[in-house]
Amino acid sequence: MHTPCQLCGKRPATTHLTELEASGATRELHLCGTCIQSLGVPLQDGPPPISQLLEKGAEDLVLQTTESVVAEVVENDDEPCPHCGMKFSEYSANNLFGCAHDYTAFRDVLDPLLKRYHGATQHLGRGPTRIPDPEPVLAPEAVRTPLGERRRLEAALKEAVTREHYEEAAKVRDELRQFHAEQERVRARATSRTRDARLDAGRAPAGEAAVDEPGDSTTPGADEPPLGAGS
Amino acid sequence: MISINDLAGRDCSWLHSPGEHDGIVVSSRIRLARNVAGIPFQRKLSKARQQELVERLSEAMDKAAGWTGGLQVQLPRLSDAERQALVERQLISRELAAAKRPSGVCISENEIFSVMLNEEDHVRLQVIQAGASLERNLELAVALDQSLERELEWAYSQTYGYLTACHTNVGTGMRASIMLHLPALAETGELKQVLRALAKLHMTVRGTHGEGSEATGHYYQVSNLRSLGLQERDVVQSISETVDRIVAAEQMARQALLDKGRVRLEDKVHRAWGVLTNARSLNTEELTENISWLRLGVALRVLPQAKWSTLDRITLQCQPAHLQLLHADADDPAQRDPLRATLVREWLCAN
Repeated sequence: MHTPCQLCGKRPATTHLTELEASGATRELHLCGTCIQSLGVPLQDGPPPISQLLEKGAEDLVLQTTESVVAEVVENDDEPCPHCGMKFSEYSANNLFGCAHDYTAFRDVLDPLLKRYHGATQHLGRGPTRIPDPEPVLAPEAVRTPLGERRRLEAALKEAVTREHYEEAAKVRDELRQFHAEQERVRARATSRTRDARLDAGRAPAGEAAVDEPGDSTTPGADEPPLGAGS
Repeated sequence: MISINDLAGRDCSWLHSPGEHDGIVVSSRIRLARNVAGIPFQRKLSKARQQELVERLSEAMDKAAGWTGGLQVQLPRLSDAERQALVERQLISRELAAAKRPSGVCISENEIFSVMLNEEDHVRLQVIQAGASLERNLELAVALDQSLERELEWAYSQTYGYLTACHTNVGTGMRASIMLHLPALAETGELKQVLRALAKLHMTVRGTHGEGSEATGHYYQVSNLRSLGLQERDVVQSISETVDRIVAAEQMARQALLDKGRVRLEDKVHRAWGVLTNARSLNTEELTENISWLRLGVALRVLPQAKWSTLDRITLQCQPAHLQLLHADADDPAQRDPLRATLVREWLCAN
């Protein structure tokens, strides 16, 4: 089992530094070759203090973390936000989201990014005096989209495997299988409904077939309410 | 309604040296980023809808409590020089000044409040004042935010707080900044250590005009990096405490310059005085660098003939767009540099 690099958190660490502090305690730092290189630290003169490495790492935190998270998402899947059509891979170009719903759509990949930049994933500051009714954008935790659910399960599986919690991993794997089976059933139902609707032209609830395929639906802004409405 | 020319001809809200700390703490700024719920962020919003958004936000600003007598304008209707003058007065960002999209700004009569419309986020609300005034500015910013809340519903999540276009602003949407003048720390070479220490405290240092801008004239802006998982007042407090320590370090470095290298210091200050009272052509860079030494000279009482108010006036009104708006025949640098030298000479020698 590889120890992941402590800077990017993704690639396996290949350089392991142990520092003996004055108190007698030890501090360890595990880094991968790519991060060592990006830090530009000359190692031939002996390893620099760990604090110095971490400090240097913090400077490029935003760029590095976004890039590494994006690379992983692209490798796995890169489905667009059902509301604005933006893909997470596009986010890396200029670190600008397309709409507030992106925070829900990309939640599973966003949380590690937020954790690394802000050291937190939960807001503690003030909020609107009049807290609006919970609706999708306002309470991402209240809505589980199929995409979000799949990412959540996949991340949980990966984490369980990384931590070598195999019992937990097996449980999540079963949940994931069940999820895929359920998605398959929903899709089949939708397809047959669409077919029925086509046969029975004119009476079809055309919107329903799209329910389970948020990915390929929207053009940007298609579902926006007109300005001035609804608030 | 005031005009940009009216603004350019007078003092700004954030430059009243020396303040409490011998001109070290120049100004304090709170910025809140907000987006309207249900409307996509700027990059996924069509031009037409951006225009609608700007108009809707302007209407909301009209209704905001106590908002009277300022300047409310759509930026594409302004000339390049007018937009640039707003950047020089720190009322809009460089990014917004350069953008061709629909956008606007609402500026209060006293220039303490400035609200950018359709910047990276739908709304960027700023409160800026001279001296160490972060706590007070936060109160003012929250008051305006609450007033706008009665007209608009912000994109907000119980988990992530205020939802912003970039993940680096999510949560409070707040950036608290203090602008410092640190010539002695730069001169003694201790500044690098200070900057390294700030990175550990999750704070950052930028030039006068925000992200990506160079620190010129020894002006540095200290800001928080993190906005999620922290309360606004805690961020403000930690920035203020850190700034207190930097101010103490700058004061010690100044004392060290006086104690160990008085002749060298006096030489630098008086050479700067010599350049500024004699030059026949001055570009912005040369002016900024020399004014920085005059500021230090006045603070350390080695230059009795200069006044703070004159230095502030030069700093603000000899910037390129200010010259362009306030004087005839100042449209290109070849015309501006001699004009700048003349004004600086006149104002310094009139003391």
